[in-house]
Amino acid sequence: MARLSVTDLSVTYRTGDGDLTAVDRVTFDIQDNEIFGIVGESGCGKSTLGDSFLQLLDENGSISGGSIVYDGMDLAAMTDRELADEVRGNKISMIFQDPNASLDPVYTVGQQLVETITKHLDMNKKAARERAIELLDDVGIPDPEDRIDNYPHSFSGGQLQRIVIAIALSCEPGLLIADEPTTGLDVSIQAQILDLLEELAESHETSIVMITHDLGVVAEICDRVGVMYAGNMVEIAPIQQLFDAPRHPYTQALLDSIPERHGMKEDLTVIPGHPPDLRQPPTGCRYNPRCDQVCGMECETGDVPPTYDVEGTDVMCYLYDEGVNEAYEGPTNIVAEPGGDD
Amino acid sequence: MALLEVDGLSKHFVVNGGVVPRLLGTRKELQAIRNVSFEIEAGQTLGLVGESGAGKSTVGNVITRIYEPTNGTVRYNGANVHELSGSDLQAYRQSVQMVFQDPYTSLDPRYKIGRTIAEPLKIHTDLSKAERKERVSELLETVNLEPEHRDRYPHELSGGQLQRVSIATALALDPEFIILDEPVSALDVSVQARILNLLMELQEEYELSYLFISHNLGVIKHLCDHVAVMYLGEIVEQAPTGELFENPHHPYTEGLLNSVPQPQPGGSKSTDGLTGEIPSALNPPAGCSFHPRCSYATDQCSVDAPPLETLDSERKVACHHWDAVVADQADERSELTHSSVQNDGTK
Ligand SMILES: Nc1ncnc2c1ncn2[C@@H]1O[C@H](COP(=O)(O)OP(=O)(O)OP(=O)(O)O)[C@@H](O)[C@H]1O
Ligand SMILES: Nc1ncnc2c1ncn2[C@@H]1O[C@H](COP(=O)(O)OP(=O)(O)OP(=O)(O)O)[C@@H](O)[C@H]1O
Ligand code: SF4
Ligand SMILES: [Mg+2]
Ligand SMILES: [Mg+2]
Repeated sequence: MARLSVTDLSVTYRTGDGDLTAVDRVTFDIQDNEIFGIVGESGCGKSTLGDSFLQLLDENGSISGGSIVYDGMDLAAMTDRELADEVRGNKISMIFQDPNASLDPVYTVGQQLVETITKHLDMNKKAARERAIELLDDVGIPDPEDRIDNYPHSFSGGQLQRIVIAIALSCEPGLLIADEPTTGLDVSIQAQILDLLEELAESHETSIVMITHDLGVVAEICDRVGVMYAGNMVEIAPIQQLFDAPRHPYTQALLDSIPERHGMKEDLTVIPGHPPDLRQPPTGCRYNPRCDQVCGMECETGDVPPTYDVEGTDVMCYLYDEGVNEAYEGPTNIVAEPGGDD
Repeated sequence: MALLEVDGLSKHFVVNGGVVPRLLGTRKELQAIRNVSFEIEAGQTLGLVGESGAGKSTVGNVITRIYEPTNGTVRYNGANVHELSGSDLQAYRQSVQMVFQDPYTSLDPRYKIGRTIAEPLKIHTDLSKAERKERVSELLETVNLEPEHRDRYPHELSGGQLQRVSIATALALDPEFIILDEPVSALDVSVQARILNLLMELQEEYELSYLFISHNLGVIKHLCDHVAVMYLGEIVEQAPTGELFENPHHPYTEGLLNSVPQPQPGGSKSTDGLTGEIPSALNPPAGCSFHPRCSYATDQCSVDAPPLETLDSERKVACHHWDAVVADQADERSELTHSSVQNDGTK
């Protein structure tokens, strides 16, 4: 069952040079106990999307359209107060790349855990402390009884990220949003944290949104993935399918640019040009100026392409429309028009 | 004779110097690199891998004379690099260049790109202004930047473009040898691909030799002829790239390879990755410094430091039990083939 349904979600930042729509009419859902990956290159809108769920956007940013339905509530329509009382840390929690951003250096990790637990769960301080020790043990902090009263600075980067995960999971949230949680950590620590997240997702029945630019991380722990380009979700597929049969020209090029997919010293595939300035995105498909498979006028004009279902992959590309791409022989299944249904 | 020969190199830093710690005897030495030896042949690429704090950048910084070694020597074309002076030193400074991870901080934000690239020409050559301008144009073209980029400031360029500026600057004096310290680690994969292609092209065209420092094993595997794996300041294994990846002999190399998430789902899960964390370099474990994290460790390992042994081919490994590591992998492989045969049989 879908735990979270995002429909036609747009997020816009107001800037001195005009509005910038960093997330443009994105639609997807996250199933129960699923790890859903969001990948894409720097600036494509991953963090903006992740931050929008709990409206943790920068001052100048706001949701400019669409809905985010969780547990019958439309998060996009809720006020900050309502989100703070009913959702944040309780039903949905979030972890970031830098664990220091989530921890307060002047309180012990125990104080921070106990505070979160007593705030959201009906527990007294003593019970909360016991629960905190259990959680620290769960996330693999050695000797949790002795370490619980230590301050953040006395832990290593990897341990801090574990503690942040412990705090995020302390109220048994249904959804955990993890924005680059292992970026910058050493590979051995990264592998441990990824194992931990996978394990906890299962044992706590938590769904996870895993935001990363690392295709290796995605392949390692995600069940399904969404690929973002210039604010659009251009492809959504089960993990194996994405790697075996990428449908969008951008996904294909992205996968082809990783060294692991090439013989030693072989030339890597290069995507010409740069991602567009989101204040003035190209007309038509936003990838068209860099695309090596442009298949019709529609690619370069009008609105972004509709989303097509191609053998279980959702892909936003005219290649899969027999009305545009003469060479296409499969069925044309439009699942969403860019304007939405309304 | 190899182009670059590093022999028994150590670099120790005093981390709480000053008078008081010295008087109290609490002065501490951090052994950033310990007894590191390797060679690089002309036209070849040696990869240096290892996790944060392993000592990779320090090796590069000693080679380029940013640091004096505490012990050991670096020889370039046979000459001891740290004893060079006068015109020999000048020549060395031209032949050996370095490119760093973060192009945003390694380029001066106040200078236009053209000036940054021309700077080494101004210091090290007698070229006239017009000749320098000509050379800058050539260099921009070599790294696939537009002539107009000459008049831009660093903040006007993307990360990938800036890294190409760094490379152009490094190429200005026709170097023979370039130390690349995490040159693509801050870049997106598609931009990384461009830089890697460029580095491979340049190597071929100018017969460059590279020391390629990275924690990204995929990139290392793609580009390097040989790889040296560092752990807590020491080289624990060194081998031709294919052999190292296919058949690691050191438990740390094995763990490291298992820890890297492969961009291919359904591959081997990181079940036998590395446990625990890297100990402090201020206080490395006795014996083999990997022993507290090693599943092959015996009593001997916590007492005797294993020497870097040269095995038959070009492989070197520092482990008392490398034969057990190799035997383990052979077992795993035969198990794999065995189980797939069984599967086929039952189908
Ligand atoms: N507060 C802001 N004001 C204006 N523009 C912003 C703001 N925050 C982000 N942006 C822009 O929105 C776009 C999406 O940014 P976002 O941080 O969501 O990307 P990302 O995919 O998370 O990138 P990265 O991989 O670098 O973290 C970018 O073009 C960025 O410059
Ligand atoms: N100038 C210095 N003074 C004191 N200690 C130093 C100095 N430079 C490096 N170190 C220490 O030496 C060790 C090796 O550092 P080095 O920067 O060479 O590691 P590295 O392998 O390049 O790591 P990374 O992958 O994080 O770049 C570390 O413990 C580091 O803290
Ligand atoms: S819609 Fe057209 S331009 Fe866009 S990716 Fe598909 S083929 Fe390329
Ligand atoms: Mg981000
Ligand atoms: Mg370094």
